[in-house]
Amino acid sequence: MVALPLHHYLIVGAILFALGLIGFLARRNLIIMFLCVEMMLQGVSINLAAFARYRGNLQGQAFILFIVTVAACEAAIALALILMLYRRQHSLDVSKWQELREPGEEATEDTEPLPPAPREPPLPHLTPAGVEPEHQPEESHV
Amino acid sequence: MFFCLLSAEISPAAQWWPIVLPLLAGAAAIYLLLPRPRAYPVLWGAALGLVALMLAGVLLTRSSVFSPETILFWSFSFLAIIAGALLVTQHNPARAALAFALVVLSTCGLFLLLAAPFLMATTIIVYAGAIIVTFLFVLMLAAHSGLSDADDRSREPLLTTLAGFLLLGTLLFVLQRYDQRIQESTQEIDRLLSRAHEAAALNSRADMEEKIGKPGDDEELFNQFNKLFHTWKDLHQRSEQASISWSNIDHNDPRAVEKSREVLRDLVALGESARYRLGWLPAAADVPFSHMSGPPPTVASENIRRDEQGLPRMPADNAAYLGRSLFSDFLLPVELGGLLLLVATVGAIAIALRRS
Amino acid sequence: MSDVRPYLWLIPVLPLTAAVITGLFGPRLLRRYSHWPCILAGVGAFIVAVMAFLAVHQGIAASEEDQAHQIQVYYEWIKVGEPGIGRGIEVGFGLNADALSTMMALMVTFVSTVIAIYSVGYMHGDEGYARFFAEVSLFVFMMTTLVLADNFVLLYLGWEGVGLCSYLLIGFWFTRPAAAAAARKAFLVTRIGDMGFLLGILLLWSRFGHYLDYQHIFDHVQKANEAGTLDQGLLTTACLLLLCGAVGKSAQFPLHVWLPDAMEGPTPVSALIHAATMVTAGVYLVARCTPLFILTPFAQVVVATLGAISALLTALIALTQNDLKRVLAYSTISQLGYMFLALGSGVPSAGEGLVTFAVLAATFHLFTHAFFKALLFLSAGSVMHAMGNIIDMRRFGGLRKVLPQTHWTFLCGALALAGFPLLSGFWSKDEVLDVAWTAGLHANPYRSWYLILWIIGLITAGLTAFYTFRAYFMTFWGEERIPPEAFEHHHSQAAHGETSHLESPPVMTIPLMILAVFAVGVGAVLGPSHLFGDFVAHTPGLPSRSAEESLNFFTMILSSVIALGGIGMAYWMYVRQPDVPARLVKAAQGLYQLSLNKFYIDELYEAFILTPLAGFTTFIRIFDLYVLDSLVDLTGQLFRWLGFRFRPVQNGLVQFYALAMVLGLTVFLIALVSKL
Repeated sequence: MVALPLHHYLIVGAILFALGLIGFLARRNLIIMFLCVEMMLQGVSINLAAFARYRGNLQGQAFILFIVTVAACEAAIALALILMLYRRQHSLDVSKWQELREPGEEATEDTEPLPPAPREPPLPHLTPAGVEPEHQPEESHV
Repeated sequence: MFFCLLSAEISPAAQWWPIVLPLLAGAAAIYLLLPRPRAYPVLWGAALGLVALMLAGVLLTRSSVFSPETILFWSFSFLAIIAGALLVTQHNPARAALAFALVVLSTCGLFLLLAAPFLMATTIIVYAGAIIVTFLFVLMLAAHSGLSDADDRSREPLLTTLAGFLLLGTLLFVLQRYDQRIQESTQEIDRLLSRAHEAAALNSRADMEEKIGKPGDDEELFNQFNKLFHTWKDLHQRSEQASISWSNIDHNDPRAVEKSREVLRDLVALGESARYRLGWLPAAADVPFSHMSGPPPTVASENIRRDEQGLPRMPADNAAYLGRSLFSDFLLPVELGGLLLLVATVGAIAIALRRS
Repeated sequence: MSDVRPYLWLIPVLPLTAAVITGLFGPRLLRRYSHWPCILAGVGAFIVAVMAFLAVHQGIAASEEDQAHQIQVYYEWIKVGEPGIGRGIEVGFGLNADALSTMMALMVTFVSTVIAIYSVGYMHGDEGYARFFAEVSLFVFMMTTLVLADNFVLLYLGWEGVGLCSYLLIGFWFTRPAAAAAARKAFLVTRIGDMGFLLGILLLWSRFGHYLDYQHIFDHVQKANEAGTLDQGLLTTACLLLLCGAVGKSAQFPLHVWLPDAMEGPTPVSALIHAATMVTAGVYLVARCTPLFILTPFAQVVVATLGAISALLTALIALTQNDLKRVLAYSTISQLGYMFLALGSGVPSAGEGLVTFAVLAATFHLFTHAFFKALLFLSAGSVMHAMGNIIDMRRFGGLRKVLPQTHWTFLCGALALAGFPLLSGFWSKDEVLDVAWTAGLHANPYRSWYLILWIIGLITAGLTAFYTFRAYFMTFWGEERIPPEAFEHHHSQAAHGETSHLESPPVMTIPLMILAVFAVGVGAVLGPSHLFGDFVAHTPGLPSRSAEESLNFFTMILSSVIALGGIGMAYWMYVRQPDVPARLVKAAQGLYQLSLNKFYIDELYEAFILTPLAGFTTFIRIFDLYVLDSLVDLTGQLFRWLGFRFRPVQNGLVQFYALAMVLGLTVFLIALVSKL
């Protein structure tokens, strides 16, 4: 018996995976959806690292390297796609894209109204750099 | 339905409530915390989430050893899970990205615990460094018109939470069965080992035989060991040899007791090594890998170096060994991965440059 | 020369090649040269047939059994198990050259070649010129397969094939509703007979040794008969079923209604298929199966009776018909009836030799009839061609001077058909009557019945002579009348009344003359000299001939007198006293109407078979439309409805689809885990 059995790590990986899944299914911001997918990959990576450790060789770690590679590619492509989609609709809402539904079916719309947004605090007004700030002429008491 | 199936398999309710309770609490927490137009108070969800985490820690793992390693594991795991929950429930995408960075960092801590320092560094550089920064760039590019409506709404919160936690429950159930089986086997080995010790302590051959049992009987010690070892081929072979040499000892031999003790000592050694093996994964003997990424599968299990917990030792020079492994066993995948990166770069540029 | 097996297959295959070539390239490439493949293949097949005939003849003369009866299986078609043992089936493309089949092949290829040449003139300028010759070639292929086949399945293949070609050619001018209806009628009526034929083949296979080729079946039945284990009832059933097919194909009494209507096809087709060759397939079948028929006296008397009824009935109908081709069609049925009468009269109880003699008489009549009937049809076609497709005899007359060559050839054919002494019809018809007479004298169970049949045959002979010459005199004698359509047809010659150009072109008249020579001479050359008889008698399966058979002067004189009387009567009624027919019609109005309306047989079929069937089909149609179809529609509608219910699932939301995937994955995992 070891102090930290394998299945402890596997449980952590499973929880991260499930949380990412829920986020992917529920959240509507494209970027958050994508982050959730990355989190699912993290869960899988923990599993693989634990397998490597408890097997006593480095094959699992090599797999994680490939996961990282694929995740990087995925991120690059996905971000480019998200940018393009944003240019078309001026929104990151994934539900704006539902043209592929059955012809004649109603589009799914949000019905519940949002509460009025809290007023944002006014941004502090800063002077542009490189310009001499206006200042009161100093009174000299010469 | 799921739990009906489970209870059909393992009858007592005690088997599944350690899974169900934290899952229910966690599902409720995530459901309450998911963004929606008329939000529930954050405190309820947060409290429920903490309860779920505590329950999971206590019920699912039942760990009682306190060492620096376990404490670090707990902290990193809790941090990762809490950050993951934050990522899922945050309205603001920028904050979600920061939560994701936290997830990555805690995962990296776990990587360190798992003897993967190179991976830790890579992950931090690639994710926390590159990907998060790119995400934030995109967010800044895209979200200059302020938060969108969509960030305050969720798609089917109840259904998605249920689906996710149902999946998690299934996974946890499998893991629990695995843990249970390991514990049962450990107890079994301990029982057999104590029997063997007791037998070895006796002073006459006849007493030993009485202790061990009649040959051919299921209860006989050697048969019990044989049965236990049926998944480990090498141990199984040796326990059978021990059984044969035990029955070959002549009663009239003056050194019969000595010889019997010797055989029993061998058997005890076998049991000890089996006990070590529980909880780590034996390598399949037919995997065509070289020794570059660790001891090759053909090495007999007792020849593998272990730490004091019984786990096989990992090479200390992690980055060097990983590099050797990548450029020997995984050469072709590495090249393909490089090609994939190149293609993705070209593709990303081509897509992002296209003007609508 | 003595072994024909290496090239016997050419007889059917050459016309098939021609059919394929003409069918593929005719309409586009060959166009008005489309007749060449057909004619060349016909000539080639005829040459091979002559070679086969000579080889078999040589074998008979040298009494070499192997050479006189040559069988070669060229291709194994169907083989299941071991034939004869354990219900095996073995069918090959096996051809059989013996006396009967080579004689038939010779006749078929010769007549079809001559008619193809004739058709070059007759079909000239027709839109479907290439199609016509493709179909004729296909017909020759099927017909030669039929006569040369060495087993019942291949025979059946040819049988159905000629039926198909007959359908195609009757409906050649398919835009005319009458032609389409006639084609359909011919196909459906013969189908009734074909069904019986098929059942007969199956019965023979299943009950008489699991064989399909003639040789084995005949041997098996022969052995069973000698051993006394023959099931008489079953054999009679099988023979009657085979007869059913023969009756349908040869247009005998209950199923004869399709042949007169088949005259809607082009006249060369009527001559080739519906007079000379295809309709004789039934006679050929019964002649081929003589070894079976002679074992069941009942089946034989049925054959003879049906033949006699058909002969008399259609002769009576032919008396009053005004359509020249229909007269010839009814006379064809009548003459085929003669052949069946002969075949049915060959009862072994009246002497073993009579069996062979009966087959000889039938096939000899078949042989001579092919020539003179083809000649008559082609001459009628020539008349029709000249008269602008008018065939009603009341609308023309006195064509003796207008169509001199056609007149002479028609006369030759008519004399031969009427049984004018020393012409070919005389010899063969005489033999038929002789057989019936002998059977009437000596047959064991049905003696007096055969005598009645003989008298019917005599009466029919007189009627035949009468109606043939009625048609001849109405067409070629009397006052010269030419319908105006004749001149429209020949529009290039403007002058109305100018009649010298109406005669058909040489390409049509030369085949007529060839056929006329054969019609006049073939009987006299082959009949009294016993050349034909000596040859065909060596067909395997026929009992050996007895020496007693010789020229029977009694029937010969009797039939000559009757024939001459009929001819004289026609001359008196239609040339000397042209008002006599009208007075006769008035005197016997009922009988006249009965004959003119073909004894109302078509109407009877209409009332008692077609109308109830139509009612039944209407019922079934309504049942299908409103009960079955609505059930089927219900199935479709149910799933359509379900589909509409599930439509909202496809709402285009990516996350919704992903949720469905996750749920599916979870269910799958739970199913896996529950097995742990």
